[in-house]
Amino acid sequence: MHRIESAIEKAVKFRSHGIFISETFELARRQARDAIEKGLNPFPVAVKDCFLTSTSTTCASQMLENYTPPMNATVVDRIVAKGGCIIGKTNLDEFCMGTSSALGHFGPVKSALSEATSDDWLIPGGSSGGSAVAVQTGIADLAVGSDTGGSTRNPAAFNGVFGFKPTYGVLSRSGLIPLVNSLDSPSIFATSAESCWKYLEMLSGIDAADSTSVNLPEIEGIKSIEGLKVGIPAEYNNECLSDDAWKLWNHAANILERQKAQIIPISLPTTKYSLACYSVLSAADIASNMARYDSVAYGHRSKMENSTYEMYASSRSESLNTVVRKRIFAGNYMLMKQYRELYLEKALKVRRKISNEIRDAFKKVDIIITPTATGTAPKYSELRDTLFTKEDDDDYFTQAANLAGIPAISVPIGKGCNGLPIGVQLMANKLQDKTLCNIAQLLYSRVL
Amino acid sequence: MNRLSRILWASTRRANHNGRSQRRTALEGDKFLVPDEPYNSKIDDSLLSKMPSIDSKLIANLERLSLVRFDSEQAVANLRNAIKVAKRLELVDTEGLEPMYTVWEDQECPTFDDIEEEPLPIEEVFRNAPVRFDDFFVTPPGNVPLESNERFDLNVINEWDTIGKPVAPQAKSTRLVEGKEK
Repeated sequence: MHRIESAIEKAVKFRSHGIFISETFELARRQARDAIEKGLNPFPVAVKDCFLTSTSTTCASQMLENYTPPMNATVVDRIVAKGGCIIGKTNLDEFCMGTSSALGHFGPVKSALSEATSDDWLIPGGSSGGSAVAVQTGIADLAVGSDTGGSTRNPAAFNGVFGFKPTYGVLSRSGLIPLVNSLDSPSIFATSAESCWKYLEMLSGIDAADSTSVNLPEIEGIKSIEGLKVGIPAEYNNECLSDDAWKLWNHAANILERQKAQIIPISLPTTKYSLACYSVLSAADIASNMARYDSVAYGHRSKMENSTYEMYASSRSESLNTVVRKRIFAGNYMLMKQYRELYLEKALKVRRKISNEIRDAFKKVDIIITPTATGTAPKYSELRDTLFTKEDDDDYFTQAANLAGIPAISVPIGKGCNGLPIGVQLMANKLQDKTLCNIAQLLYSRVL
Repeated sequence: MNRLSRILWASTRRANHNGRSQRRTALEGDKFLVPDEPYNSKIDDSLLSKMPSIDSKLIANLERLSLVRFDSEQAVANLRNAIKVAKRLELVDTEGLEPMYTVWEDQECPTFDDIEEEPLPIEEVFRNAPVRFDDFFVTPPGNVPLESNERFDLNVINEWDTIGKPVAPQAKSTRLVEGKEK
C-alpha cells in the first residue's frame, strides 16, 4: 500500500510534465486493497492511453475526449490480476502517430530530465512518451506502451530506461486501439531487462480475443555472453548518427567482446527503404482503422448537421490533428485502385525483403546490436524548427524490427556529452524474447 | 591485420578526423568494432520517376474517400510528399518476392467456439453516443454527397518544394482529461 501511495504522490509532484491524460488514483487504491486481500504484492503501473480501460480512454485525441470503453484490454486485465495498480493513463502522440509526444490534444509530455518551461522542453520521445517518463520518474514499476515502429524503444532511449518490444503476437492486441495491425506490439517499460522479462511472463499467453496471439515457447535463456555471436549491421552507422551514439554503440560491442562474444559484421542493405515501406503500410492501415470514427456511436460530434457526410467530415476535420489527417489522406491515396499495386503491394514485397535479410542474418548471429536513435533527445524547439522531420531520422533505427516481427529492446548504455541518456538496441530472432532480455541484462550489468 | 598496418590504419583514421572527415573516434580503451565510415542512407530522389501532378479532381476525390477536409495548401503538399516517399520503393528490386501481410504466415488460426455471449446492456451501448433518440443512434439526412469546393492554389501545391511556406504544427497547453489545468 505504501508503494502505491508514494507513486500517487510522485504523480502529483510531476503533474506539470503532462505524463498522464487521466489519473486513476482511487482505482489504484482499490486495486491495491484487492491485491493484498488475494495475497499479492501491489505494484504501481502506468498504462498508455491507447489501451482500453473502463475509465476514460482518449488516444490523446479530441475525437475520444469523452469516450469511456465498456471493457479492459487483455493486457490490462492480466496486470491487475497479478497485483498491478493503475495509477493513470499516460499521454502519447495522438493515435500513436509520432515520436515526440508533443502534439496531442491534452498537451505535450515534457521530459523530467531537465527543467521545462511552457515554451520549450526536452522531448521525451514517443509515441509512448508518458509511459517512459512514468518509469523514469519512479511513479510506475511497469509502464505499458505500444510499439508499431519504435514507439517504446525510442522514448526508453531518450529517458534512460529499458523499453522492450516483444515478438509480434506474444502480448495480446485485444483492446489496443489499432495503428498498423500487423506491426502493433504492446510493449514494456521498466528499470531493468530482468523486470521486462518478469512482466512479459505475467502478461503473455494466447488470447482468444486476438487471433494473431502466440504462446512463448519454454526456452532456457542464457547465463553468459561467452561464445555469443553478435551481429553489427553497417547500415546503422548512417549519416544521421551522432558521434556520441556511435561511441556508445561501439562501446557496447566492446563490452560484449570483452566477455568473449564474437563480433560479426553483417549487412542489412534494404534498411534504407524501411522508412518508405513503413510509411506506405502504416498509411494504408491508418486510413482503414480511422474509418471507424464516424461520431455516431461515440466520438467528437460537429455542429455541422446538414448531411451525414458533412457531419462525418466536419467531426473528423475538427477533432483529428494534422498528423493524423495527413496519414488518412496518404493511406486513401495508396489504396485507390490505380495505385494499390504500385505502392501497397510493392511495400508489402519490400517488407518481405527486409524481413528475409533479418531472417538470414540470424542464421549467422544470435543477436544484432544497433543504436536505438540518432543521439540524445532533442528539444521541442529543435523539432518544430525542422518541421518534425527529425522524427524520421530516429525511426530509421527501430522500424525494421516491427516489419520482421522480431523482439527488440533498448538498453540505457550511457550519456552523451550533454549529459542526456543514450540507448543501444538489441534484436533477437522471433520468440527468443527470453534470450534477448538475458543478454540485455548481462550487457547492462557491465556498463559502468 | 598485422601490427604495422594496424598502426597505419589508426593513424590514417586520426588524420582523417583532423581533416574534418566524418570518421569516428572511439572511447578510450575501446577497439573499433563498429564500422566507422558513415553509410549513406539517404535516397537520391532524382532517380525516381516523375511526380504526378495534383489536380482539384484528386483533391475532391480524396476528401470524399477520407471524409476529412484538407485545411490548407500545405496539407495537400504533405500528401504530395507522402507520394514522393512511397515512390522511393521503385528503386527496390522485388522480383520474385511475395507480399508479406503478416508475421505469422504458417500459424494455425484458431476460430472462436460458437458460444453465445452476454450482449452489452443497452445503457452501456449508448453511453458514448453524442446524440440518441429512444434506442437509436441519430445521423443527419443521408444520400447527400460531400461538397468539395475548389479553393487551393494548385501551382503552390505542385511547386511546394520551391515556393511553399511550411508552418510547423503547434503543441497545445497541458491539461488532464477532466479539463483541469495542470
